[in-house]
Amino acid sequence: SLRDQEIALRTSTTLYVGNLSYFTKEDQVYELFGRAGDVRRVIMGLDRFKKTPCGFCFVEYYTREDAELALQNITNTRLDDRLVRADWDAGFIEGRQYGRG
Amino acid sequence: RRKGAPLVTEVERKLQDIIGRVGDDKSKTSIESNLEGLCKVLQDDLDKYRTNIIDIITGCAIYLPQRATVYSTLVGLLNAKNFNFGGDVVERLIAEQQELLDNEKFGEAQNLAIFLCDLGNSRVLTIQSVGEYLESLVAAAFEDCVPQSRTDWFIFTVLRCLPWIGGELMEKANEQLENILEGIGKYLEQRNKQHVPILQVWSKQGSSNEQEDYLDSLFAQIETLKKLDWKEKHIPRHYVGFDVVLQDALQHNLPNFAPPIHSENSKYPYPQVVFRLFDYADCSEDGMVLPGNHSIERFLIEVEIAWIIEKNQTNRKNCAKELVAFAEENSTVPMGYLIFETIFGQMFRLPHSPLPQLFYGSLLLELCRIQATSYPQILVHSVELLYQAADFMQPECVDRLVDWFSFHLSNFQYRYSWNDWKDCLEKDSFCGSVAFAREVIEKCRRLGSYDKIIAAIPSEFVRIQPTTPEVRYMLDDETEQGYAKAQTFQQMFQERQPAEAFISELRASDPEEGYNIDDFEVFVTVMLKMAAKTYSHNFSALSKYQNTLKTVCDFAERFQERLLDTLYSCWKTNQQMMMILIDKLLKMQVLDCSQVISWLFDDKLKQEHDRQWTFEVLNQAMEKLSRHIVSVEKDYKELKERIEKQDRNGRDENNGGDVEMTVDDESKQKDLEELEAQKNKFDSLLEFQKSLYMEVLHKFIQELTNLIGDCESEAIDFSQNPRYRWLRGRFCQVFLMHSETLYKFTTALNEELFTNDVDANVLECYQQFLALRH
Repeated sequence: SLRDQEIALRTSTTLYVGNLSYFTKEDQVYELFGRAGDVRRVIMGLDRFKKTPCGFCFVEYYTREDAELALQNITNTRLDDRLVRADWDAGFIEGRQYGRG
Repeated sequence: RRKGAPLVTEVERKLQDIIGRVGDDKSKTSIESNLEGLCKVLQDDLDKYRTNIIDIITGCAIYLPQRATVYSTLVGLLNAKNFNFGGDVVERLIAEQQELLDNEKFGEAQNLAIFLCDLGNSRVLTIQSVGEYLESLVAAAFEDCVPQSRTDWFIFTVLRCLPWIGGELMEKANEQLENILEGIGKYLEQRNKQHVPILQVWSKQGSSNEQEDYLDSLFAQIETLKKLDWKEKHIPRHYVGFDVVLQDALQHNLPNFAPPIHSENSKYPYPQVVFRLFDYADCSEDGMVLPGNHSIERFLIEVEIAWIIEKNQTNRKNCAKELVAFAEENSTVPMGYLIFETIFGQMFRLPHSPLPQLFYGSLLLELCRIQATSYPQILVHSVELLYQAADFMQPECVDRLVDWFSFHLSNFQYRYSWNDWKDCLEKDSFCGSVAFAREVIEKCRRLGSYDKIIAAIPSEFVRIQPTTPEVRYMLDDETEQGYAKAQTFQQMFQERQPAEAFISELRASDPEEGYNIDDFEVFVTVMLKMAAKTYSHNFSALSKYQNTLKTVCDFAERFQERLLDTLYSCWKTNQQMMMILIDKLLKMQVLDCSQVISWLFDDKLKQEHDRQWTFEVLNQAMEKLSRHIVSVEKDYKELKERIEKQDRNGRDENNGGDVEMTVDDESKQKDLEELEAQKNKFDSLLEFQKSLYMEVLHKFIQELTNLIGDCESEAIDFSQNPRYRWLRGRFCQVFLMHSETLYKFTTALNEELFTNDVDANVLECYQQFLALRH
């Protein structure tokens, strides 16, 4: 429900990161987002059919504080020359990595 | 009555709003007329909402220190009209200061001290009593048998108050003023300054800007100010405009300062050194003059910039906006330089910067964005100066510089006048400037791509350019020893055989040997090669074969060592991969911290000691262990508290026996058992941590002592040897980064490790570290 969604967002340690270049790789995301704290995992968004990167990913931290720090300070800075957009995500669920091509 | 309740909070909110905003200079009217208006409004409510108003004013005095003169003037005006109200405010502020000190909120308590002194200027307090208050603070600094970090705070507080009240004291209580200054002089003379070198971003040789101890510097500034008859040019003195109203006000007496009780667990702020990056010659444009090192304005401005930063720490955009606005308000001073100097000063502050490194990086980006015509030049100028000082910088600060600058460059397509760094190509690879250049390039490689960074840097940089970060795999060659075994493992992986199958495949014929160590290497190599594509592939391989890895590694330490060797031989050109894999294997408990540490100090890894990653692995492993122990300790304490609370409640209720007693007893027994288990876990972890930290320090002692010996046998001055200096810096870094944990073990460190047998040059680092808390 909407309420559950809200609670999930308020306690989440996962960020949705968008506007990435299709050529940006997982290790670059680790390097940049690792500057805010210990990253639990990165899940690259993939094209549903071609299974190639398609410009977004999820970054999950161990703590909320680290995720907040990343959100405040990495949003709108550049990675591979594109302005990274980050926002809270309610938490990654298998299947969500497949985006539009 | 019900209707009344929300009304009060609404009034409260309104009061908070109008009082909180009276000092905003963005409003069209002047602060003086704002104050006048506010006074009229408050006068009617003074009796009805007295406590609310006092609450709000107290809050402003503590948390809006840069508006101190606004609120002291307000209290002055209200006191002139209502003597009792003024008395109540003073009483409340004193009580609040006491409470802040009891809770170790030293910064906030200092704000209140300044505010109280300023109430002397707005005629709420007699100057005489303000003088006595400051004298009692100085007296508190001469207490015996307490740490210097405690007495430093008293002196720091007095020094910070003097720019506000020095002028009035000179006129009306000069004898006390002289007494205060003499006391401070005496204090500073006998003060131990062993802590200074370990806090300095660079040593004396690094730059003409020497980093002085913070109290020495501020005292020199105060003495300069005294010579100028206490006429400073930065504090906005709003009470001057109300002289007529204020001069007839009745005044209160400020009681003497009562120092808080000291206990063994009391923690006081660390001492600091003053960071200076620029001097007159660096910023002479437009006729603006940079306040000199010993002019009080330099200090006052820095404090104000720091306040704007602190207030906006969660919003870099607002922060940059307010800083630029502040620069515009003070257009006679080259404020851009001072903003950059303050930010770098915080970024490099030891042992810890006040805010996360990443924040400073994104703030600098934002500043360059909104002042695109002038600030990028200041930034480039700063990097030039920092590069020049890099050979004498502490490695910890070089690391921070590298992290920031690579992040910055990745936002500007790696464009930089790289040729400015050419001179470092000739130097020893343990020199700070080489480390700076090489590691910036390495981190740019990680943020961008190998091809991009190679294209950006000049071809002469080949000596410090990274190698392609690909996996090294030789087992495709039929002549290689492990070829046949590799083929077997490859097939097994392709058939998705379970972890157990690999365990049997690896088992040695001789049960004492456990597993075949060369086959184990082949297994790990093949696995790494097959998972080489991404981190995710690696992580899933590690978790799939965790059981294989753990079973083999648990059998004997040599397998862990071989695992690390194998990782290194596959991924030595990709340090990020090395770090991530070691971290993961530590988390999975395949590797132990202590094995990783001895591996890092092994002879074969010494060629990597000029690189950042080796010490990053070391410090991160230590840091993560500490964090784990802190959380175990927290759980233990929470459980303990809960049981004690239940005990108390139980005793209160259970005076007449109860049928349910047995059930209670049973669950209580369980709780106690769990508590016991938790305590044992915590104690053994702590013991483990202690021996681990001692081992790390011991390795450093050995390494440094050997280097000194080597230099001496070749008749080289070891103190100028780049390798020695760098490693000594890494040793200090361990003390600085893990200071909180290491303080817990000082007794053991004194008795078992840092005895008189240790070379005095090495021992010195430890003594400097101890001096931070002494």
